[in-house]
Amino acid sequence: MLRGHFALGRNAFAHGDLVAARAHLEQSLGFREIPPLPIPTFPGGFEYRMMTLSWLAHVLWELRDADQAQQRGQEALATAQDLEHPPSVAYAEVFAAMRAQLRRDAASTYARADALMAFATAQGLTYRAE
Amino acid sequence: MGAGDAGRRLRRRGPVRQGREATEDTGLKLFQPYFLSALAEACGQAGHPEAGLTALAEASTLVAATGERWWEAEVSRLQGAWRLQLPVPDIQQAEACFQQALTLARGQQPKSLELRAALSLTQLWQQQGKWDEARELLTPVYGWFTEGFATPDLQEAKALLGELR
Repeated sequence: MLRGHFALGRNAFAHGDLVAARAHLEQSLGFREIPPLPIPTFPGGFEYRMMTLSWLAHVLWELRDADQAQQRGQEALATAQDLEHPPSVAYAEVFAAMRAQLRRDAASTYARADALMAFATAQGLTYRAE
Repeated sequence: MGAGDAGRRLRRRGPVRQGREATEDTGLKLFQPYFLSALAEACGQAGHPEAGLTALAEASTLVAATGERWWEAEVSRLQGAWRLQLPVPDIQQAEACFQQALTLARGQQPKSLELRAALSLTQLWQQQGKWDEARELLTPVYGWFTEGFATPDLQEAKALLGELR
């Protein structure tokens, strides 16, 4: 259910159905993997709760809830940092940089993008380093 | 915008273009209209609205081809904004783009993009002396918001409404 609602939410977002996207992503957050999933060990894997929070933050900004978007984005970053999983940290940081750009905060956008590229380079995350 | 700002934005087109080319190499299509809009904004603010419009035309083509519509309203709004920056501004087409952006935003409910479209159209109408229409357009859109008042878009809307009183 967690993965299903995440997939539906992301798909609805891409097609511009933001209300449905928000509903699915919030529903996804209500589920937990039982037993908990191991943290992905390969570079392309990401933690689901972090991804859901990142996308939800993006949707919330579009739907006018800029402050809630910041809050959810911070939760995404905190989730990734608690896991000590570099690909998930980088994923959450990509969305944080985009959110700064959406808020027209140029200084924060450049700072986050520069920090992300440095982090990705140090961690060997080639795709994020470009 | 001063000459220094223009130069800085022109220099920053490089990283935006490089980033987009890097994602193109992966075959990634998701978010391309958004990235193309960022490139268009950098071009337009550096004084190259034609290059911005070329990037936005590509973004529109991608939206139609892929159905990725979450940023569609902003693509239309920017097309209007850069038409106003052309050596011979195309005011009629610009207004049509802003109207289309409003229609798209109202259909998909991204209030943040509806605010930007309303702001652009309000500013155009203000310049044309249509103060009542401008105020009637922007007031209810601004009234939708209950948070985020520190963001530049909402601060700009508040200031504009103050001018239109």
